[in-house]
Amino acid sequence: MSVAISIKNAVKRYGDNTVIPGLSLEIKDGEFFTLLGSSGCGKTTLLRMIAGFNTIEGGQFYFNDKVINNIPPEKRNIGMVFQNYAIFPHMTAYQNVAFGLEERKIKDPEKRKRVEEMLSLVQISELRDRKPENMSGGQQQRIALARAIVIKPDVLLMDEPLSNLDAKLRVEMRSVIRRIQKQFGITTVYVTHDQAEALSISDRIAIMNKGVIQQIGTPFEVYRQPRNIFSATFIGESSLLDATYVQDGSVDISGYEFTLAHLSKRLERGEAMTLCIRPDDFYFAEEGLSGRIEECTYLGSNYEYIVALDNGSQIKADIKATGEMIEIGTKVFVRFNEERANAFSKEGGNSLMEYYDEEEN
Amino acid sequence: MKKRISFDYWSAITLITLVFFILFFLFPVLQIFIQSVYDSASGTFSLDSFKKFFSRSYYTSTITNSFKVTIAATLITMVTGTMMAYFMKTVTIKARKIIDMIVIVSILSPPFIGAYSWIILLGRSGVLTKIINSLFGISFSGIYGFYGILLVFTVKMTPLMYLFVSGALEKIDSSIIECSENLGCHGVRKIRKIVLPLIMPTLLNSAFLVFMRIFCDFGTPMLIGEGYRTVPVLIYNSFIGEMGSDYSFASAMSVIVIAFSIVIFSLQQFVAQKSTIKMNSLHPVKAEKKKGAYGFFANFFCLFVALLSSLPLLVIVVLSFRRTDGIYYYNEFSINSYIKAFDTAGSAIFNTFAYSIVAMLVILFIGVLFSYVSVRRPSFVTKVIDVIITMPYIIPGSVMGIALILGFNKRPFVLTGTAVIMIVAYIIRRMPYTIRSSSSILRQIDSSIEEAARSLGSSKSRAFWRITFPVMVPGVISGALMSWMSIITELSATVLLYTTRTQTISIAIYQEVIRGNEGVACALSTILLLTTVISLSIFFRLSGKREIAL
Ligand SMILES: Nc1ncnc2c1ncn2[C@@H]1O[C@H](COP(=O)(O)OP(=O)(O)O)[C@@H](O)[C@H]1O
Ligand SMILES: [Mg+2]
Repeated sequence: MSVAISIKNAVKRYGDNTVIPGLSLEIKDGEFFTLLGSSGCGKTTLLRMIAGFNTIEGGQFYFNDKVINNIPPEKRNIGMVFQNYAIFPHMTAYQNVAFGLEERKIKDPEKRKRVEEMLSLVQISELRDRKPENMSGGQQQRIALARAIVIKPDVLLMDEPLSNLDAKLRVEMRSVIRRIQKQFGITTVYVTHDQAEALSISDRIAIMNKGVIQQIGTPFEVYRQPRNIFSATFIGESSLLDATYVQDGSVDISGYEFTLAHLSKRLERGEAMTLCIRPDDFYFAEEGLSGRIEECTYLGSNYEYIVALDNGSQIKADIKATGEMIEIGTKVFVRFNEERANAFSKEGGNSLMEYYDEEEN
Repeated sequence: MKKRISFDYWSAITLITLVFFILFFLFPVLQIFIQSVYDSASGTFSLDSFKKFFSRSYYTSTITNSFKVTIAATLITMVTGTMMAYFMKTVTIKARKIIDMIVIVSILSPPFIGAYSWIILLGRSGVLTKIINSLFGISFSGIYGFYGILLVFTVKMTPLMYLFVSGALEKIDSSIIECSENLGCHGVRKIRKIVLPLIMPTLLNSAFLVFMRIFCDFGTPMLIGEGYRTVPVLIYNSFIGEMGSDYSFASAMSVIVIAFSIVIFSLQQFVAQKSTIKMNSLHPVKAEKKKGAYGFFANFFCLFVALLSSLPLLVIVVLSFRRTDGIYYYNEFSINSYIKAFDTAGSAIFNTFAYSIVAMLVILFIGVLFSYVSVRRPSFVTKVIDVIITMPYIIPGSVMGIALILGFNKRPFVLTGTAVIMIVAYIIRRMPYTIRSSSSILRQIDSSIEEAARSLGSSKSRAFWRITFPVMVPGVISGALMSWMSIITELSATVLLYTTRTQTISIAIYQEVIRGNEGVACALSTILLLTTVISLSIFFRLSGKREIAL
């Protein structure tokens, strides 16, 4: 049985250092929810507050309608997967997975059945009787996952579980985690600093910066409709261009006019804004923003160009590698996909797109 | 919050540890300070004892004696230990493994065995003395006094110094040496410019350690010193011995010794802080085959050290199996000495094992649990205790013995003459080591495994007992074996605290030596030695290493 988690005004301090100044969050029942942010932004801290390993200086944590602030970790029925796996070094794989069941006084044959099922689900049945010291990181992580899930937790918490694995294993484990999470429908809070991982694995993502949530949304939303300039630059790459609002969705960039498809209806003429444009949304044309090629890199399927625009800004453009590479120094005209560009207010950096028209800025 | 002040399991351990150290360490040591200025005859306070000490060269000479012999032995072992370490690490030495084994056994062998067997070899009527005298037609009357003590300590401490320095040499990456050679730095110059500076911090630290060990040793100067009296001997004599017991005087001297110890200890801390070098070696320097005089000398030197360290042990073991009537040894195999040993010292053997095991159990119980609190739930109180437990390191055994007697020879705490006071002495002296080693083991165990257990439903204390504790056990047991070996050979505090009912093997050996019952003494020493070797093999099995850390 899994639960919805809701956090109201959570505050965390270490001495005088306020790490989380007042954070609220709703996580739905059965959802795969990811906390994404750079190192030191407070992800682990928040996760450990949910788990019960950190004191809570303010606010309420709920599992469904029940306040859990003062419930000790062992009574919260959580499954936790740690960054360093935290496999019990003196126990075999089987004993590791069985541990939580033993703590719940579940006896053989049920215990044996559940452990065996779990081991085969994460595909490590053959390691059953081995100690962790001679296992690879990937194998240890599978045990950690099995150990956390076998107890049928209400909530599964994972703190950068894949960051110690090599690139190939990481992608493989992503799908293992995703598959098992969906199969059991456990509400999952997943912490990572890796945006590709977050985008590929989550139902929803919360982007955190310095203990404050910048945006919560589906992978599509956080990538395509960033709520503020922090999200836009944190996820994926973006080039920034200064622009001024003209009218009816059209903006002026150093004398050249573009018409953005989804610009907010509430803007006033002359309002200063910043446009964020993804590298793959740029293209070269007969006319547009003029500039010179400054650098070019061949990336296999794409050419990556750095273009110094005549107005002083610099952009990065990914162009399909169909023709010849354009040489450095060549004069080009740059345009971008007006469907997809995002605009943010010059002050405050909040989105000026119609998706956020309902919200108060 | 309510949680803060709740009194749990862990605060109980902290409290027990605190009370234990206050009652059995701070309180008795405080008694020394009081006694040293308290004149029991008139019931007034005075500095007479200190005046008495400093006014007569008979007393003050013990300090110069102690320092002379300690400094000389320390300096020599620094040279010999370093030479041996350098040879063993850079030159292929024959029988390297055997040498290493001998070195370790010799380090862990009972400290006074050395003095005793050198008397058998080079004493007035020693085996070697006779050979020398008949060979050269001289009348060498045996090695006693300054040179005797110096010989014993040099032979005993060179292996220890070797062990420390080779640990440091192991951390030098071979690329550093190669690099210096590429830059044109060879031979003696290379050693002086590169190797020595890199091992200097370790060398200095070990020198301080060796210094303290020699300075505090009671058995060796007592047995072989004769007229050459060192401070621990004088403390013992003035407390127990010839001139009747003068508590006030013995206390005053203890205070002086503590003062010296503190100075030396602070010096060591200061030097250690100034000169730490972080080294981490991927490719330790490899031993190479060296031809010619250098290679020969290196081999000869290492073998010679090993021979000298094993000689005292061999002598003891061999003599223990020779038939003897107490004065003469006959060329016959016999286990008579053992039968006599069990007859006369059976209770001593029993006591040794009983006391040391009880002491170890207490040390393990409190030490492990307290180290957990101090590492995982540090508080003001645990920090205070952490400071207190560094003090027994610098209090010599004889001083601790006196402190315990002064603290517990009158109401309300009468413990003198009981087994309890001896066990307490062992606990106080060894607990700090266990707390330290357990703490460092704990720091290496990731705390997340305990959190994993809690997330799986274990309470705090269950998580400790089912997860952290079992992971700690092998390391803790290894450390405990080390402590145990030093407890069963403890003499300097024991000799002040025992009574006929509570004597131990080391006391029995000491007494048999004094009485001239050498066969029994050798048999008892062999029993101790055997115990050490067995413990050592268990230790190696448990730790899976071929090294020891002291
Ligand atoms: N036990 C602690 N004591 C003091 N400060 C801490 C502690 N744990 C974390 N912090 C601080 O809190 C901030 C957030 O840490 P953390 O939650 O670990 O970040 P993240 O997991 O996002 O990398 C950091 O600045 C860190 O220094
Ligand atoms: Mg973290």
